[in-house]
Amino acid sequence: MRKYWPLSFFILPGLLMYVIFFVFPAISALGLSLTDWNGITPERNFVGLANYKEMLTNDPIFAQTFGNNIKYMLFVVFFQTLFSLIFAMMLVKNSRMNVFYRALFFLPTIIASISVAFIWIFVYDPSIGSLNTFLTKLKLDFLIQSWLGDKNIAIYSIAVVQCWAHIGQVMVIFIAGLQSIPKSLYEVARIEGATPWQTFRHVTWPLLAPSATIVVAYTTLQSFKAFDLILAMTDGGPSYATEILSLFLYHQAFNNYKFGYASATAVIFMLIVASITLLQFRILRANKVSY
Amino acid sequence: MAGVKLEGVAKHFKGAVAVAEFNLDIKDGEFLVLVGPSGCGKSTTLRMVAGLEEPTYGRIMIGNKDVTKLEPKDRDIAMVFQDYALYPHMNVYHNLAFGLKLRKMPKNEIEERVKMAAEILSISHLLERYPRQLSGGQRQRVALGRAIVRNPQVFLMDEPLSNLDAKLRVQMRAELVKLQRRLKTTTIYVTHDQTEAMTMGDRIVVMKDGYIQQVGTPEEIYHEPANLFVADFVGSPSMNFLEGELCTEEGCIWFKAQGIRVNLRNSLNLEELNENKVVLGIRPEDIYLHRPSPEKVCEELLCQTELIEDLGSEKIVFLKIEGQELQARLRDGAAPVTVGGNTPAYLNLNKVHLFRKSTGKKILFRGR
Repeated sequence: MRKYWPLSFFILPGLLMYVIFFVFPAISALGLSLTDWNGITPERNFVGLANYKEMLTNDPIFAQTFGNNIKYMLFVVFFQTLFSLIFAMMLVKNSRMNVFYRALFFLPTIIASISVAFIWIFVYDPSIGSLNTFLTKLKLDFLIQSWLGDKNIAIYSIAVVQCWAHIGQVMVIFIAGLQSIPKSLYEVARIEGATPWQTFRHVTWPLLAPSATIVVAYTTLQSFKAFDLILAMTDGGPSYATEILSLFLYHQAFNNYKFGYASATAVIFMLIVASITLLQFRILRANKVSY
Repeated sequence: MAGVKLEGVAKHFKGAVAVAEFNLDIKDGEFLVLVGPSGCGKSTTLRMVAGLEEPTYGRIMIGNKDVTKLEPKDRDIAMVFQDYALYPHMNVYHNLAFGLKLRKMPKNEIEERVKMAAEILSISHLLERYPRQLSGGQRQRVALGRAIVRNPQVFLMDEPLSNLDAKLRVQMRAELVKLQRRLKTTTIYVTHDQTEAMTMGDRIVVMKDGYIQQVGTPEEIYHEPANLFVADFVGSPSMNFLEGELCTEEGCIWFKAQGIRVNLRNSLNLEELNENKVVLGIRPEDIYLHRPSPEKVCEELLCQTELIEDLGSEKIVFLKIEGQELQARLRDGAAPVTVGGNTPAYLNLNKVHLFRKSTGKKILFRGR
């Protein structure tokens, strides 16, 4: 090992970036979360765990935000996984048509999320939006909604957009997983008399477990950390109905100038994300398939 | 138990012929081997019997039932795949029981059948293990077990031994044959390995480019090959071939190639043949390097010895005559020869085969 030590200089630039832009802010956030800094004046007072106490016991908006996060996450994880799996199963064969459709479904992934947000703001517009116009044309007027204005459905409206934007990306992971299942296993199932559902239940799904775990892990984190889409579409409104943790801490810091409080939120947020990641790594390791 | 009948079965893939008209009657309890180089259509034929491919033309019967349009599950067959196709997430027991469970068999009967199959294949101690914890040979047994538990009318095996190492393959070969004799289940076995075909099959079907070249017992295939392809494909080392012409001299039929003259001492009507360009074939064991006993009718040729491969129980001697190569197989105890010298080689004329050069078809001698 000793003769390789000069090589360690090569990781220095990367390490430096990591320390400056991640380790240092993370540690200073921890320090800031114990103060009442407003982000502008140099004055800051040590307040101990007061920020945490306030947030966890006395801030209804934080509680609502956290609830929104969970709703958003569950919706996105469930529907994005379900539909990407359905599409993957439909497009698993490498025919020319399927390759075209895969590219088509993947397209939203490469569009900037701000653009995605604006496309869907138009779609959801209550008076001129294509969704409501479409529903009217179909004589389904009773389904017409103020998609982003109704506080009961706004979060789900955005979650649909999140799914739409990322289904293609997740579908690719499932296609790779499906293609790695040996064809002969399906042929055996066919000879043994398995119905399509039994084949899915006993062959495809168990062998897809590693891909599914990756997908669920990725989607959970992705939806938990959602930010730009919601910022651009509703900015957390109406009346905090679409405010999630990332947006909450942003608003605390840059609208309310409560940097100390925002830092405490960031620390909690980091802990949640870290524990989800850790849990999923464990599951992933348990779900390995070897042929 | 049931026989299998293929009537004019053909398979075309996007205009390309994978299997041309295939007609065969496989008897109940027979071990039939389909053999040929890759791409000859043997696997496609098997998969059509299985129902995994639909024939473009023709009819497939299992027993007295036309199964051409039936789903694989309704054909009462079991298939063993080259890659074993075991479910990696199920242990051996569940791999064996899976098909029976799908058929809603009562639990105690499943257990009984699995136990019996495991005993036959001596894998009873492996039932709790997962495929990844098994060796190649054990996995192969499990794959066979899965076929046995179903007690089907026909076993279909697609190169089931080709993923095993050489020694294990030889061992499993014998076990498979014994197993088949014991169960008396009609078996169609696909392989590209002519040794497997020769050692296992009651009958062999040699295929090439989608066409059947010959159907026969291993003995017929080896000793009476129907054409050049079969003669070349079966046997190791393969048959020696000399290209030349036939002509009549002094009332005898002669085979002549550059600098080589062989009096065939046999009656052939060359006019009937209306072609004199031929290929003479002779197996390595029918070339002797020392004078054989007089009852063997031989032709003597002077050759150079180029190389000797000593395999222990036998020696393969590489000979050269007028630019053409011959291989002779010497059994243990045969006279030793030295490399580089000239040696007389004796061709056993009773074992000589003649093929038309144009079509490769065998030319029959009269009286043989």
